[in-house]
Amino acid sequence: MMKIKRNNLYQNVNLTHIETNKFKNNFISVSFLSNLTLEHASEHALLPSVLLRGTSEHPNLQSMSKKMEELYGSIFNPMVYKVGEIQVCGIYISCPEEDLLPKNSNVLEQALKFSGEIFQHPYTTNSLFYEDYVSSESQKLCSKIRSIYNNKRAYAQFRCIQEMCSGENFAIPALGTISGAEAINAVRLFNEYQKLIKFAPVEVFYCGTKSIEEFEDIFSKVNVIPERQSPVCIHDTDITMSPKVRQPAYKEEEANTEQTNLVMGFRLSKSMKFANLAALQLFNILFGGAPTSKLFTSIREAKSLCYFIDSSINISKGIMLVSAGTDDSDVQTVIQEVNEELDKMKRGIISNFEINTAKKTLINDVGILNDSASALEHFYIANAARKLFFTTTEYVKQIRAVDKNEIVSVAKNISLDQIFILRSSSYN
Amino acid sequence: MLRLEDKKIKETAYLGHLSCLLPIYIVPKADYKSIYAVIAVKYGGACRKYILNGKEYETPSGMAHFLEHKMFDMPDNSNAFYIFSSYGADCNAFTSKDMTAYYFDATKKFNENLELLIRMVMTPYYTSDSVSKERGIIKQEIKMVEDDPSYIAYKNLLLMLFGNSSVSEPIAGTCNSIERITPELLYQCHRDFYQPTNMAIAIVGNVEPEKAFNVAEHCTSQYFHTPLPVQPKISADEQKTIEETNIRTEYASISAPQLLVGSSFAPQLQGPSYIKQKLTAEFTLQLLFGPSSTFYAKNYSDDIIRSDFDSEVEYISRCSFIMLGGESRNPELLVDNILRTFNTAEELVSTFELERVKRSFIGSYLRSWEDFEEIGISYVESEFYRYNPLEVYDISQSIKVADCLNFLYNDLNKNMAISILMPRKE
Repeated sequence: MMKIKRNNLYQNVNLTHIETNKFKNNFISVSFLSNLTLEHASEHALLPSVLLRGTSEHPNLQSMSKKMEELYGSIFNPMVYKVGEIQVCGIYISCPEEDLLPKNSNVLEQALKFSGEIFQHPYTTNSLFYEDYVSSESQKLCSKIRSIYNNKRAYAQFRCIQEMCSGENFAIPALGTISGAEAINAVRLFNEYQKLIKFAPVEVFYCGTKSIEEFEDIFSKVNVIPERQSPVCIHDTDITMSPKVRQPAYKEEEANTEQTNLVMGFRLSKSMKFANLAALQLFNILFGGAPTSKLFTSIREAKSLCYFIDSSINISKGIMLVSAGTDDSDVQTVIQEVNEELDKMKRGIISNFEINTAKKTLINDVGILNDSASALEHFYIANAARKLFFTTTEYVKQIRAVDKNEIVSVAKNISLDQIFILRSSSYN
Repeated sequence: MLRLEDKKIKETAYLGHLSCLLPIYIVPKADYKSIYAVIAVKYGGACRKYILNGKEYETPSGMAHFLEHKMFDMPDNSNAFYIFSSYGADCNAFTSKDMTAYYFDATKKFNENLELLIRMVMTPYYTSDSVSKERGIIKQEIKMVEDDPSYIAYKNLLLMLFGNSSVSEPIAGTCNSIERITPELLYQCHRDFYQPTNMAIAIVGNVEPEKAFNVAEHCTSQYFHTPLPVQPKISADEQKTIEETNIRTEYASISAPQLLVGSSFAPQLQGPSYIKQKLTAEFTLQLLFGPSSTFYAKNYSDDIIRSDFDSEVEYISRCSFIMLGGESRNPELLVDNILRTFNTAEELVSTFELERVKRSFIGSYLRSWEDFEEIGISYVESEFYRYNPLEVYDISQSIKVADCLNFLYNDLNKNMAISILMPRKE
């Protein structure tokens, strides 16, 4: 049994609270929301890692790690991601439920108190972040940004978005840029930290056995984050309805790989006006988001052209990516096949059996969310960033209510915007 | 069924044997919506040679993995993926070096999904056309894996530790080796290995144990036959001791150098002593190289390692090894620092530090009991390795400094294998 509530803790600080006995660990997250901008993306991406380098009580990484081990292996991890053009940065915490530990362990309060230290009493010198920590984490951030190249599939998707959304904030990576990270120093980062901690909207998430009253008491008692001063509003993701040019743009790069990676970027266009999220997700499952989808069954299973081919939809930005790994000689065939399968969906060639199967798949996926605290966190906080709130039960009702016309309508509004190919080249 | 319990962590499991002799584990989780079921076979990528009825058989590399891919084809030409989806279930499979596992995750229709899972695994269907088509798909998978830098570093490490043996071969095989796989060979391997005494089933989630047992009994009675009187014996490669520290450097399309350092140790192959050895090795590595260690603090601050630096303990067939590494701007310096830490290990392993590591294990152990796939796989593995997952907590808390030192100085090979991946100039 789960009790889900949403409450306002202080001005611009919201809590999504789930009371349940079924997990063995408490799961908490504290997320700061901001608009994704080139100016500050790298600073926001860097901040959680710098905060976790040390506090006034635990001034270095070794001391911080020992503290976490003493809290029965509690996890305090940085998180940075984007929801459309909203950047989310913060920390998530997992600590064991107290009834599974020796008596009087009081782990949850200690963990929240420690998180309050992390947010409000970071290790400083001369009232600024310790420069060594800032430069060390900045170098690591640069390495992490560069490392996307190691995963060719992810890199090809990243490049497609860069090309397709050039000039839009969505093209800015959630981790920021190398030049942005290299330009950060202790002064700049501390100033941005002050702005976030005092003004940014905050989303708090809790899932565990404590009631909402108990949790709110502990949260304010240990002073995890300060009350907001003048709140900052963040604006919604800018949805570009149509491709910028009539013909799809085309870009190629080469890499020393065995396999060619193809990414096709589509705009969802008018489907994003009064978007029906359930219809969008059902379309995606039918088209390329499941082993029973059009792309998988036709292009992989029937024609053996790929090992992986799938579609993914960004429901905040109104973009769909189709990714495939294939032989160089088959790329144009795969592009043609993808367009043909999309065309079939535009013409309504979808059976009721396929739609019902897609609904069952999506309802199953949503149902399984309830069995993972971290999955629930992402569901509710991502929706909060979109200024939405509905429970998984309510979402299942929305899924059931979608009809074929709505799915076909999604297909009809989709247009190809960008093709990106990361070609394999032989290496001698 | 036998009831197993750990009251400290509030977990219960039931162990039974079905009439066909298939062992079954059921872990009831009353408050959850989903049910996860897995059926596993003790047959994986490293199981290339085997002896049956006095005859030795050798199969092409990639055999177990190919078999896994083909299992979703049903004899009536339908595909199990579609049927699972029509029941609203997610299904998948994987092949490791020692095991193949098929599983589903569902919130409804447990009976139908379990029947389909068992029927899928026990009604093999291979034709020349379907095998030929699958070859094309698997070749793409092989190429995708060969582009993965973490795989390249790992493969080189295994080659240095274990030579050209079945342990170091790729699970999916090579584009050449899978050309030799035929429908006849697939039927042969299925017949010889997919036997109830070589398999296990685990069900985790919102089920009543007796009812789940009865459903499994009903399903298996239709598709499992009398086991072969003699079971195949895998001709496993015995672990060789490498005689000196080896370094291998390769170039790949990556953004920064990567390093993996490994060393073998004499394995305990099953039972509580297997669990104790594995945990002792993990705790020792955490003491020497974990986030609270002096090594980690120094190397992280000097930017020699990033937060992806990690260590692992692995058992494959009759071999076992530790490995540690990650991305590094200076892999040679990192190697020196790792070796120096091993050489001064005795100073770093104390009762006080070990007690803190044992305490931190409790959190990760509790987290593992929330992940249905992790629970299911640990139970089928426990059948193959002969241990009780509910005894892991007590074993972990019993480990002493003497155990860690014994592992370091008596079990672990002093000679290391060092696998370095450098960025190719592009």
